[in-house]
This record gives sequence, structure tokens and C-alpha cells, in this order.
Amino acid sequence: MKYVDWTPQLTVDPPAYLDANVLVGAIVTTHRLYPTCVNLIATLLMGKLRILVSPVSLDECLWATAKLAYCQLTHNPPNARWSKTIYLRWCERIFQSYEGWITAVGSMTKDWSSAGVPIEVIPKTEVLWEQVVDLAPSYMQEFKLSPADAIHLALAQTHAKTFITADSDFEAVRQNPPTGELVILHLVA
Amino acid sequence: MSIDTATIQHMRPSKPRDVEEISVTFQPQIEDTGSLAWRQINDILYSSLTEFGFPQPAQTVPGPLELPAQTVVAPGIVVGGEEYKQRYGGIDLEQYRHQMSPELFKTFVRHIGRIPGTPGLDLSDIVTTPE
Repeated sequence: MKYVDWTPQLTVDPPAYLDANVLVGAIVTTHRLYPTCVNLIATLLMGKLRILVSPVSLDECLWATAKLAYCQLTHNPPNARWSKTIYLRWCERIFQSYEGWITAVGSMTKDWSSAGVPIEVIPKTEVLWEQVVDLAPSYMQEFKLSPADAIHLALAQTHAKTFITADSDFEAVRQNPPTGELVILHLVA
Repeated sequence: MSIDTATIQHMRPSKPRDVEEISVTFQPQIEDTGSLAWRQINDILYSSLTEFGFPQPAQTVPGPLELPAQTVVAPGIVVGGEEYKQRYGGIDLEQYRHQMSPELFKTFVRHIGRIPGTPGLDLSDIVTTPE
């Protein structure tokens, strides 16, 4: 496994598994990684490279856009406290006013597919899923990753040649990368 | 000033043939924001009235920092000046327009930056598992 900071000159080896922050990062403006996320997405689309996503990515995207909507409704900053209790309290208002935000990532990936971009949902088979189940806890322990991040890494390791993420929590992998051919492309501003 | 805010402040026609006696004054209700539509209306009025010998006030030339009111990014995708700046300002759209098929380019620009962020936004603050 290799850990590399992405630059536009780098070739992305497909299939490429996308972390949720890359998808959200291309849809939401003003953050410092927005142009990087957009340029990376353009590279993938122009090359018609195989893109992989997972239900874990979608789950994180839905939480992210719901939180943005909550912050917008309540005039809270983006780093405001966010919990399931808060979500349940504001759920109705969020969907009343910002349903388009919540469905944005799903709509984007469906449109990519309609435009001929090869995009697939993983895990693909039960055998591969069993490998993910075995790998995820070991990544949690070895790299002190959250369960969701460990599952992302395990899904990428078993299905992809490249894992694209903007999450610096994977920095721990750079120091002591496990065996395998996966390249982790880290998006930096 | 947009079309919505332009008002005919005073118009007093007397008889149908007394064209010279009609007094028309245009006055903006708010500061002119330099919308393209208003400038076009203004140009038409200016040239028509000048042609008939009405005295005209000096024209205000829009400043160089004004953004176009609307920009067509791709067929069917029209955004305002400020939105264009936020979503596409730092992106080399022309490069992508030439390298993508028209359908793919439209799909690409339709989705990027469709949710407005807030100043100081950090991705790690929002892509996070709730407590």
C-alpha cells in the first residue's frame, strides 16, 4: 500500500474508490479543498475511469448534508455540535427546507452513471465482503481508525487500485503501510 | 437597478398630438446594480428619446468590477454572477468544456458546488459521524 498526496499531474489507476469527503467536497463550496475535489472529479469523469462508492460513503454524505442544512437553519457554524438527537429534533425542518441538499450526492452519482461514467457500488460479492469484515477490525486496531474509516480502507483494499480521500486520519497509514498494491491518494489544498 | 425596481416617476400626456408636452422622468428606487436587462432598456430609451430631441442626462458607465447578471454555464444551466463566482470561479471550465462531451460537461457543472458553503468551512467539520 502506498500513501501519496494528490496533484493534477498524477495518474489515477482505476478502479478508484471515493471517500465521502471527496463527494461532499465537490458539491459544497467555500472550503479550502473545493477546487481540488472538483479538479479530481473532472479527471475521473474525463478519463471515464471506473469509480467505486459504498453504502458507507452514502451514509456519511447524508449525515454531512443534513448537518449543513441544520447549521443553515439554526445559523450555527459548521463545527457546531451534531448528534442523532439534534437530527431527530430538526429532521422535519431539514427536509422541508433543504431536501435538495440531502439528495444532492445521490443525484450527482446517478447523473454521472447516466452520462456514461462507469460507477459501481461495492462490496460486489459475499467473498469480498467477508474479506472486508476481516480487515476492518485489524485496521481499526493498527491505525486507530474509526469503524467507518476502517471499512472504507478495507473496501478500497479489496476492490480498488486507488483510494481517494481528503481525510487526514489516514495519515497513520503513511508511516507504516500494510502490504498490497492499493494507492491512497490524499487530497490536499 | 433591475426591471422590477425601475419606475416611471412622472408621466403627464395632455393631448394625443401634443408629443412635445409629454414629460417623462425615470428614477431608480435603489442603486443601479448594472443588470444587463436594465442597461438594454436604458440604451433603447436613451437612443429613442435622443432621436426625438429630448435632452438627456449623462450616462453612467458600469464599473469594471460588476458581475454579469446571469451566465449560461451549459445549456439549461444559468447562474447569477455571485453564484458563478463561488461555484466556478477557481475552476478552468473552458478546459473541461473542450475535454468532456457536452452531456458529461453539463452533468459535471450541474452538480459541482450546488450547496453554498459558509466562510471558514472545513470538510472535516461536516463529514463526521454524529455523536
